[in-house]
Amino acid sequence: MKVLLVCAGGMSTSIIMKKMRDYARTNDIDDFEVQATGVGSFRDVIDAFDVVLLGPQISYRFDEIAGVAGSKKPVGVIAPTDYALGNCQAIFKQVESLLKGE
Amino acid sequence: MANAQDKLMKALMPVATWVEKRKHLQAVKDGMIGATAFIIVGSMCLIPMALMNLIGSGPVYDFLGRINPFFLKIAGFTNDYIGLYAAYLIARSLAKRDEIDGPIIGINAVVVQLILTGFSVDGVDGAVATAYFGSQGLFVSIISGLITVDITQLFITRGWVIKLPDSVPEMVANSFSALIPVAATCGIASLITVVSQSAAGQVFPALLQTLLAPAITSMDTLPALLIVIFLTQLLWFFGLHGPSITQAVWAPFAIAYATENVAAYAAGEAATHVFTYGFYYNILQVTGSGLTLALVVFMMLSKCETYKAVGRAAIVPSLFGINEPVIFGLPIMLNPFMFVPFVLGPLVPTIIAWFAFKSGLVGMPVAVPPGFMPPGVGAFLMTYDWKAVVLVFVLLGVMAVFYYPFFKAMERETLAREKQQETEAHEA
Repeated sequence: MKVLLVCAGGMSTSIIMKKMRDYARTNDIDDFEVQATGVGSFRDVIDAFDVVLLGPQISYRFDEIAGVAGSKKPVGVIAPTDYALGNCQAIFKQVESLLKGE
Repeated sequence: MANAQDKLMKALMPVATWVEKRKHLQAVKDGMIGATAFIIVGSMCLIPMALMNLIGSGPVYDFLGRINPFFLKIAGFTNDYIGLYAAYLIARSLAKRDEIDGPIIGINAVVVQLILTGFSVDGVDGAVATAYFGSQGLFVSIISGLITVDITQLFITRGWVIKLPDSVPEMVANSFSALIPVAATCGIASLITVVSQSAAGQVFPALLQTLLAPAITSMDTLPALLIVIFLTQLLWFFGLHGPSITQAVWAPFAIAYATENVAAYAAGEAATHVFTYGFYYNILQVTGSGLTLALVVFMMLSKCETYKAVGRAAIVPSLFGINEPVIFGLPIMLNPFMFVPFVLGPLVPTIIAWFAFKSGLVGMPVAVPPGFMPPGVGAFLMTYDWKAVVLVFVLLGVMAVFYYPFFKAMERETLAREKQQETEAHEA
């Protein structure tokens, strides 16, 4: 699964990105790619990803980003506490349920 | 309290979404911020010159004098030509949103910008006056970038483009379909140039400056800053990215101010603007919106385990200006205890910083450093004045005083609640 994390500048999501990579490694999750990007440049890279997760602070851009993603690519907003603490367990669960179409 | 918060939130969300939907605003913001990469490089290339000013003489001075031309050449072609680059970036940013993006439209915007800001030099064949290529032409680049895309978009939707049959290779077809929009945009730019000079007696960049003067000057004032900071903090309080949303309005000005200051500095003149892009991020919002470093430290030292954990997770990002972990982790967001220190508190550092700079106590922002630097580093690189570093820590201290009582009150309540839960669990 290829996950795209989007926040304002790509900075705070890059913290989550590192945590997710570590989590995937320790939990033997193969076939996992993650990238963090800012809201100004997500259009350039979104095509390469299966699912898009937004930082809660840009939740107001959900409609716009979901529009660009299209109906085949799920977009979700990470919950504030999960985002703050980098709760990878919860975030991975969110990715899985988004990919399942829930 | 919850009801008032609900009402405020319901009022703020549509505003935030409305600002985001103004694609022209967003394109200008994205384009200008993209251009800062070049402004930063150019500005940092003035460091040898700055060091020479500080040292004054001696062997190090002589050495710097020898390598300076190498750096000045870079500074000259970044900052002094920024109007051209901004026009390109703004155009492509808007074109992306209109789904007509491509290199041609970017170059088209540069051509338009050149027509609007480039003038021949009397008596020198082939020379072009570059006076308006730099910060003086930045507001023209906004126009160049936007009208290039808007006109092209209009022509495409109306079908006023040369369409070649499908059998023609795509590259050829694209260059033909670009012909009419390119000709139209350049024609309009040329017309503007001519009309400006004949009807208004001023070259277009100067005319634009005159027309925009009230708007340009009113942004670099304390009231404007207070409004910007207040809105930034209020938006964050509702979990929305304050700087990102408000930037649509103030970033183009702040970047233009910064560019002007750098150009003045390079020319040995006085910098005149306080509210630069760097001022906002390295002074007013150092360690994150609301200058939350002290709060993070309080959390790390707290008796409450959750606060300790969040504090530890938040400290390193905070040192680099990223405080989402605190805003969402403490949380500051929608937390009544934090409303006064976080939303209203930062207005005080804003006032202090403004007067510190305006009075000349601290040197003006003369450089544009890279973002996300540790507290004090950015401030020094921006002003070449150690007093700016002192100011940063004074401001952090002021916010520490604001956060402390509210944090302690919140901590007391949390600890009491946890204790009660413990006793209930024991009794159960």
